[in-house]
Amino acid sequence: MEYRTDEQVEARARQIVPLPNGDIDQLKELIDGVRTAADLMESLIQPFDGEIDVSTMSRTVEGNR
Amino acid sequence: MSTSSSLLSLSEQVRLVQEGKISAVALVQTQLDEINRLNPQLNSFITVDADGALEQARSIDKARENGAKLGPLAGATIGVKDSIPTKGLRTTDNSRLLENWIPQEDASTVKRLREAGAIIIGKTNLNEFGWSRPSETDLMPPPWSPWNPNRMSVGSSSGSGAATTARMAAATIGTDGGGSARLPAGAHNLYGIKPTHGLVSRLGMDHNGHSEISPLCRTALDTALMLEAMAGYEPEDDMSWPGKVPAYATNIKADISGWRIGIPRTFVNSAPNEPEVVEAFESFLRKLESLGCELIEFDLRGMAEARSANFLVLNSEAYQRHQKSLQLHWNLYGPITRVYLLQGAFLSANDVLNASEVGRAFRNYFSEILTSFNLKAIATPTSPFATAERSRRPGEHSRGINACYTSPFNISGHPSISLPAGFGDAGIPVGSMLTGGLHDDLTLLQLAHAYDQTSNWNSLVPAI
Repeated sequence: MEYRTDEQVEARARQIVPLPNGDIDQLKELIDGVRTAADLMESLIQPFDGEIDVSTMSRTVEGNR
Repeated sequence: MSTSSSLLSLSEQVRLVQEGKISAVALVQTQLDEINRLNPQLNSFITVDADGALEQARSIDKARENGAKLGPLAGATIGVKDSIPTKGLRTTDNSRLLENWIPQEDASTVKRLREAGAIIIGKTNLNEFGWSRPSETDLMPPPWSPWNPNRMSVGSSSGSGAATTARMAAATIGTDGGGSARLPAGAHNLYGIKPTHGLVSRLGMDHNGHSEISPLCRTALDTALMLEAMAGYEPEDDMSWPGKVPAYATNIKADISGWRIGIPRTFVNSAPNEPEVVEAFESFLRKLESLGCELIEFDLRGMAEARSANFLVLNSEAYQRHQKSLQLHWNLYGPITRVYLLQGAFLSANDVLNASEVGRAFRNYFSEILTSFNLKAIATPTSPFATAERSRRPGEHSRGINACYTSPFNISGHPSISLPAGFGDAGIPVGSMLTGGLHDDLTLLQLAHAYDQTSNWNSLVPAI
């Protein structure tokens, strides 16, 4: 995911919509979650000759093995 | 207290209409009386179509008097989540953006329900666009739980859950993109099935790869009747499944003794389950055992990853659909919803494709697990939480913990049903869930029916 910092998130949001200052903190918190999820997905993708192996993935709600 | 005919299940109401023992008009009028009595307090419906419902009822009564064969849902009053378009009937998505939208066509599932003789009595409340969290500033304020009117109904198909359990409709339909029908089913003492992906077409609605249209009903048999009417191939829908729909209601009785049910114990124990949820789930498992099921504990992997994958795809699709309107009509969106809808704007195409790929891997893995352990289904709680307020705590809501059991099976496409299982300390019901093989929705309905036949959940009525 391209947007790594709070400043990048705020700039991207303001490019799109007239986001009030009061909404910025909520958006940053949400995007933290999106970034974590996107990074997790990327970490699961295998090289060209490999398959995603779910049997090695987490066993818990928090994603622990 | 609800009046006698509204206390009957959908299947009983239909039988009485078909046998001429009650008129469809009388049935509709009873439901309208219940709506008039309860809706001002509960906000379950956004729009009630009293005239339209009575007109539909009169035509059913006339057809019966003329000796015509009535449809399998003849006379049944159905509430439709207000995100599902209904011809000539206002469809708001609980948004000021669509406050006055009157669709020209029914969504295909509504069309199928009408063809089966169902009477669309009104449009049920929801989180704005089925998204985010409800607030008092929404077009229609949040629905309250009939089981404890001081507590909000769990959503996003919140009004659908409330309307069915409060006997304001014989059944309702909702949508489920991460648990939005199963979670309210569980929190309203109802049966709610998210069918196998593609079984019930979304034709006539927004394109969404993993959100399914789901019936919310008081009995398992009602659920089977509804699903049978709603399911079927729509050639214009590229996601619609072309197979033959089984006769769910006719085949719902089965001897389930010896059926193997998987329990992903490590995963379940890792969730922040409230004590009432644990108690209800263990009681649910004991009931399955008493019905002859064999419980098999096993390791289930990848649920957290699949939940994240579903979350990313959902966010991306939601932003894709709203991107222009967010720019043009920012102030018409609710303040919480519009921020939630923005999340997808930060994802790249590669992020979304990665998530889809993880979802596909989880789908194949879960199907293999069912086969390799010879399981008819797996059992989990429906939600770790016993109240809407607890499930909406900001940190946990944004991480999707409330949907930790439900959302993995949206991206995998497997059928999944929430069943009544108990009540929490706040008086709010809690559900347990069964998830089975692709296109084996019938097995889930058979398990649910066997359970329903030996439980008394469907006889409980909110004291309002």
